[in-house]
Amino acid sequence: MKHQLEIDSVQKSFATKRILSDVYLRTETGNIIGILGRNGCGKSTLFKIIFGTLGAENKFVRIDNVIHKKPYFTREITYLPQDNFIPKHLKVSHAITLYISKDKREEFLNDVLIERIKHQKIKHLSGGEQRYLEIKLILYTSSKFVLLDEPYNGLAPNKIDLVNQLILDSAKHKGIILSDHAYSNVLHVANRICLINNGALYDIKDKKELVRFGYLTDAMLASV
Amino acid sequence: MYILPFQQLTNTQRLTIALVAFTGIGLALYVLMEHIRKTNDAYFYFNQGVTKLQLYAFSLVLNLIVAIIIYLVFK
Repeated sequence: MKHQLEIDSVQKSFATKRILSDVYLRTETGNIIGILGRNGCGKSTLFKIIFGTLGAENKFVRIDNVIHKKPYFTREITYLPQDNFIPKHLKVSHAITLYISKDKREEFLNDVLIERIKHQKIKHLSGGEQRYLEIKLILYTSSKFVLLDEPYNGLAPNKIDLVNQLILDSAKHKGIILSDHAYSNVLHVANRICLINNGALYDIKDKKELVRFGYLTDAMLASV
Repeated sequence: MYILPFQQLTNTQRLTIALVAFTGIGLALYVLMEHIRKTNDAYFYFNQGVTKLQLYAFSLVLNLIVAIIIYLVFK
């Protein structure tokens, strides 16, 4: 059975500046939506509004047609913020115990990198190790939908391939919305692309539209 | 018979000590909660379905338990 996430009529301003204007987005489990946009266009703001930790002048978030004011409270949606979020004093094994259910733990630990770091404290991990752990934790939770805000931040190229594979595997039973300035990765992994421009969310049917909106140049698009 | 000197305290003294402990621990927990709330650490708990209110409520309950234990130990 497919689950649905619907975000409707999102309006958000900071002081007098309108960041998001009447944004509508609908997705379901099995989909990977890539959201692109310039710095400060409202991508992270939109994610926090969907997750429920940031208010908006107006918003409706529905999961399977049920409106939720704070969707994160339902545990049906999880969010990877831009910056590292696991408390530094925790041990990796403790974070895994808190996040991953027993039936998935063995599969989660069947990973060379995780196996190597599982007895270390978070504060002793490198930025890339920490990011990889966070992405894997978020993708292995039992939530139906996952919001990934700049997941490729600080990841080495070999880890990027692993993360892309994790995202693709998770999308078999989850709905994923991701955003990153590494547009080539987003274009590679997503099966639908949206662009935030001047507060509005546009569905991108053809990648050439990204050039028309001024997000990419012809040369950048050719290299993807 | 009293084994330790603090066991001879009056009810008012015990209550005062418990209140001082409650206030001190409360302030420390408030600072910790504000730190969690203002940093990304909060998302670690939000992703497990814990709300901001529950974080504060948890620290309040913890503080109350400690204050009650202190009050009872001085009996």
